[in-house]
Amino acid sequence: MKKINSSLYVHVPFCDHICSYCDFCKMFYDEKVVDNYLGCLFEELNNLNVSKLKTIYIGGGTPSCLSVDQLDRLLSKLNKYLDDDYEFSIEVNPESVCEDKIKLFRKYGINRVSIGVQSFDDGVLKLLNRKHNFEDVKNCVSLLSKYDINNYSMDFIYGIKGFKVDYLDKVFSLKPKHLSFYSLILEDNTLLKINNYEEEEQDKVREEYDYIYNELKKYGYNRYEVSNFCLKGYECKHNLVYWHNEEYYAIGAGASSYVNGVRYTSSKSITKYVKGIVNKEKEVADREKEEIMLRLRLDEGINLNDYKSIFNGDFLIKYERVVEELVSKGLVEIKDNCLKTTYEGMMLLDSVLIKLMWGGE
Amino acid sequence: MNKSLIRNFSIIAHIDHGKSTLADRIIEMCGAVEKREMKEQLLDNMDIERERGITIKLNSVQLEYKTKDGNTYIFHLIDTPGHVDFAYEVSRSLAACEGALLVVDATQGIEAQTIANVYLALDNNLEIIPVINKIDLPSADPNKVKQEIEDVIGLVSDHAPLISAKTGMGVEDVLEAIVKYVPSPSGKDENALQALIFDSYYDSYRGVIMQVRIKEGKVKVGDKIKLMSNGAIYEVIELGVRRPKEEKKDCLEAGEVGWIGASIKQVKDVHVGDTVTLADNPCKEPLPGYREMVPMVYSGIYPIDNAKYNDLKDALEKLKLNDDSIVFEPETSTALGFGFRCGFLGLLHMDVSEERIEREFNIPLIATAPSVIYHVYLTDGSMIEIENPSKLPDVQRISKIEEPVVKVSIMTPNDYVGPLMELCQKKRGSYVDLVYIDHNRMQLIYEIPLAEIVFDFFDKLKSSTKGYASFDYELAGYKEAKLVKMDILINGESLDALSIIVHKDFAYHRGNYICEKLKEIIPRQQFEVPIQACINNKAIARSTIKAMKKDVLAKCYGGDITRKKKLLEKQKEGKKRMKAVGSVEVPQEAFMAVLSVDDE
Repeated sequence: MKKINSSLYVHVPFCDHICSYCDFCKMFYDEKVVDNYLGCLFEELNNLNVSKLKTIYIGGGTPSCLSVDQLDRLLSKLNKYLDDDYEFSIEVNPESVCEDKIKLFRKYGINRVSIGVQSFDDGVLKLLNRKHNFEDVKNCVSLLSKYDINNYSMDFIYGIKGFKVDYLDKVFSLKPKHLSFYSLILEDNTLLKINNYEEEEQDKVREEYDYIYNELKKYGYNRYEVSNFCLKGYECKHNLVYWHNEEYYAIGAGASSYVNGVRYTSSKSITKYVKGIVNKEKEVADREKEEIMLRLRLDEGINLNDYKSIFNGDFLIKYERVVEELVSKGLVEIKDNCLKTTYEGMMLLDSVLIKLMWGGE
Repeated sequence: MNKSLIRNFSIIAHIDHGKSTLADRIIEMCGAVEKREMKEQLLDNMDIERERGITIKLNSVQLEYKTKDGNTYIFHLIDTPGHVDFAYEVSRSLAACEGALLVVDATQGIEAQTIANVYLALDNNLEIIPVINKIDLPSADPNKVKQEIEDVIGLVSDHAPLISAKTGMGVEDVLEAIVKYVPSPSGKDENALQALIFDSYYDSYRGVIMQVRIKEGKVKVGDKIKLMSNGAIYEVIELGVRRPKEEKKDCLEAGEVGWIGASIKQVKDVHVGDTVTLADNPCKEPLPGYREMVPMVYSGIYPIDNAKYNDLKDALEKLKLNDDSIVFEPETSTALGFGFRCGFLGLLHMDVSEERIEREFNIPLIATAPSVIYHVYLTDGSMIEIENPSKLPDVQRISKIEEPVVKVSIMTPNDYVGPLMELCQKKRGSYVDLVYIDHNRMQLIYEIPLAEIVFDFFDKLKSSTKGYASFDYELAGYKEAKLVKMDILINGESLDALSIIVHKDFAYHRGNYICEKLKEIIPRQQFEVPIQACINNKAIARSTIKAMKKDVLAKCYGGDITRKKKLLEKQKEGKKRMKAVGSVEVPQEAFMAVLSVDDE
């Protein structure tokens, strides 16, 4: 059973300012470069021979920092590929999205907006080099509602030394359908790392996660992936494609795709990209390991029947010893014919994965 | 060959005083190597030597020098290792010479180690030519250094060439001085062969290659030779000199320095210091000074991957081909599996050997904290030697324990005498002497248990004197001490590889420190892990590693699955480098924790 590839990720690596934690592929906005970039993006897309797409995700960078005209070109181009029943997402920054841009969202069928909020604590926003505040987010949300885009998500960062997530009431007041809470990771070549910002202690990060998890649950936001929560039925379909280990296209500098069993990652160099040079690193997917790694990130876990039909074997027999150990330690459980992590197991997912993926070696 | 035109010499110097640079200049000026072929510090063959700026293995080179008066001389420059651990090898290479250059840094003066080597050279009746180096530096004080050479060593130094090995200034004077002061060799070709082995190395195609100095007689290709310490007989397949590339010859004569290949597969037959003679016309007596080398420091060496046990065995055997001073025998540890107890001449020797195994043979290792050899007297009146703390008998069976004590000589600027005395006291040292060298340098002499030197003495010495002090030590004997075995328990299981023998009065402090250190080093596990330091099954210190609370990539990686997987693979590799002790995964650094410096 091979699913038809019907998802596309579009990377827009431009920003008005650079966040101190970000190690994604990005550069400062420059009108000319963006124009060239869009040209190359369209060419890459044309070469893919895509017919209809169920999900499109425009990520960044900050896609909303493109000019109205540029957004118009990008969205109208992508709009042509939409299937009948689709999810069309775009990432925005609260301060760079204006009514004109939201009108375009509406016009070209964007039906899911992910707002990069990160925090409602001004101290944190300053630390992360973000330029907005609560009011900006509120305005953004009311504009989206005005144009009937009610499926919006917000991204937050927790686990920041010296700060606490103590603004969840504000979050709930904005009625997002979906929430992502990512823990701060100090990556190389980020401003935070360069400035030797200290990592928060593990116990405190965990405590904060527990708090967030429980509060969100109270308000009807159920976790469906390690860092992702939503009201019933509002899971991000595009991201589920990743976690279900399905294939997807991707265009743009630094973008990763999965086509015909091979994972590609484009070079991060934007200057090369706009010259039409696209170097892609290839790696043949290790389907079984990746299936375990990705599916277990989801609360639904690995469906043992699906596993059998894909890999022609019984998961519980193949991984008997490791599963037994993990069950006895209370890290995984078998429920509804699925192998799922327990709450504790999800928190220690990396050790669980290493056991399952390489424990037999 | 006209023996009066041969000069055999070594260079004695402290680390960084410019020995290798001077050797390079000499080789260059004698035209043995074209300038464009010159690699910095030609004699230092191994990467580790270049990186650490020290010479471990000996090399020799034959050079031709045309003097100002027009005669052409044959020079044999024999390199010496520059560290106290290799004192015996140094003494053998010195025994192969008639003279030595004593290189002293004009900005630093004489160091403890230099003195030790000068005395070795004097013991071998060498003519010593002081050479003052680095006189191009602004802080150079050649007159003061000359005075120091006269006062401290008692060598006349008014003819000492003043040079800069870096720029080449004055190096010609050194060459002329060698011709003028170093005696030519005295041996005769017609005498029975006496050749001193001062080094050997293993060549996988040709077997053991011996580096020799022909003292008396001569040796030809096809001769049957005998190694005198064990009577083994071989046929000479090839011989020659190094210039510095190998050059084959038919014959080596008295006074010459060269190499001999005789298809020797048994490396254990070739010992540095041994005498080679002819089987059918042997000399009456071997050359003096041969002795078996005695290891001073022992450490357990284990492959991280147990499957590499045989590779490690091969690696040790190959190392031993080139370095006879390493001893090893199989050992098992409940924590670390199968490995070897290895004996080394000293700390540096141990470090370098372990590094070579990891680097040249690509075998990741866990090495246990080094230990010395204890003399353990049992209640039944017998004495046993213990070099592995975990092998110490039950305390009821022990009547007393003696430990090796070394005489430590420290050269230091006056300012640091106070802190150094404090350090020596803390290391259970007893004061012997304090000698004034000049108005700002002193020589401090203490007797200190070797175990304390092995612990962290060198680091402490360097840090408390900003690196200005140098030290040297020699075995002074065995002394009784109140010593106990301290075991380390992780999650209730004793880790034999972490057991140490420690002085009773220091046990609590050390135990506490180790527990805290292990708590830092051992990553959190899925459960809480207690760590205890115990003496006679009684805990004297403890710490607790908290349970792991969060271990999940909770970051947005978008569709970059490859990166996510690579991060996991990296974590997995990290875990592979750990040893499972019961259900606890212990990283290799933990096994050195007992060694690390306590920062009070």
